[in-house]
Amino acid sequence: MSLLVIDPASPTPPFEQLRAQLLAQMQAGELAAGARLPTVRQLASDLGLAPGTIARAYKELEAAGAIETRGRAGTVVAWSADAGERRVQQLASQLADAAREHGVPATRVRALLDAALGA
Amino acid sequence: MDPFLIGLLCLYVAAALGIAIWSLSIRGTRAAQRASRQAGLALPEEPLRGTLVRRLLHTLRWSNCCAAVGALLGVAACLVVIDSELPMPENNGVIWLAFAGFVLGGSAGAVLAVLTARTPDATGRPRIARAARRELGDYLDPFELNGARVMAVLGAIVGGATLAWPSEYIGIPPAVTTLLAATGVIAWAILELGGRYVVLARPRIVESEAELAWDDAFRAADLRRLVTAVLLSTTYAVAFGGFPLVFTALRMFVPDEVVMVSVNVSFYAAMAVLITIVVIATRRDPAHHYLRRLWPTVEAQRQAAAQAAAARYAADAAARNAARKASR
Repeated sequence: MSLLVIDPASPTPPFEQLRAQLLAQMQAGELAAGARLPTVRQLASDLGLAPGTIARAYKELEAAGAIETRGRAGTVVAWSADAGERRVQQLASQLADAAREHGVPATRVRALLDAALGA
Repeated sequence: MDPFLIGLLCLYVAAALGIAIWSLSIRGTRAAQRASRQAGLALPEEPLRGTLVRRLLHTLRWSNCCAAVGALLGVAACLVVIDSELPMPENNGVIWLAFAGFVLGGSAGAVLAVLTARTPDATGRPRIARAARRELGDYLDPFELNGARVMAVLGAIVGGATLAWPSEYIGIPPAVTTLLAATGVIAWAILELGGRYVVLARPRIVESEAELAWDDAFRAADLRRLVTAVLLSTTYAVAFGGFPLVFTALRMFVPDEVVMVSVNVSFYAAMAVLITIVVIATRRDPAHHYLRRLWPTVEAQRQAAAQAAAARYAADAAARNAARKASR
């Protein structure tokens, strides 16, 4: 049984508390791929938050490939063990496209990537 | 008008009003203890207990008062049917219309209770919600939920067929069967729409796991009330309409004697099937389905406590027997 706990007194914004908890539960397998999440309005009412707060958390999770919206089925968990790698692969190909478009050499891209990774 | 039927209807009205008055006068603590036994959850301490008692009484009163209103409307429908001088070989069967009114009124009352309930304001403490979407299947045993769906469809078919092809053989007037089937279909609509979009969608800010578990218990009880209304009203429609329909059809092909034997055999077979279904449904313990689905650890504790209590009772009984034998 996966529960979400939102502390309104916490310095962490509610959308971030929600995003982090949902992601942690997906990674722990408590929320399996395909599980339906509550609607934005439903979760906002249950947690006493503004719908925009829930929508922001969902949007960030969707951008990270952890959840997806499937029409009538609503918002479902899309996270799987290789979801992170697939996301990095997708971003890497976007990075390669951007580098080609702006004429940045591959050696420089690798150096920038190493710096970003702290290597 | 049959004095026996009038007596039954008067008794029925008295019982329905009695239940409504009882729910208006029952003390909160007694109702809460009863709800605790039914839900399989321990009663929490104050202030949560007070909130639960208020919510419980609110639901109980709405549901029982609406059931009484439904019963009165059902009795009125019975009187209209009796007064209409429809051919009625067994006119006492119309009493089920009053009963259908009672269960339909109760289910409408459960939905109205949800709509009229006041949601307590948040206190600023951490709030808890379930990460997965609430589904009917979380609160209703599939045996009950799918059974209600099948019976509603079956009831609608029988109701329509009875009206289109009235039986002359046995049973109550086709209009009554159709009314019972219509009641079942309305109850089904209340379950699918009211259950999904009112009972499940009802927002509730909860601040502890105990409160969330009790919230689930209330939702499960409300939904089970809706399912009961579907099952009861459609079962009567199918029983009262289906049998005459099948036997009218049989009569066209086989002699009356064979039809009579078939009527008797089928009646006992149907009773056996009904008893089997009731036994299976009871053994599945549908009242605690929501605990198994949503609160498995609470259910495991409840089962362990029940087994320990049964073992204690058996040990006490054995000790008493041994003491009795020794005293002889």
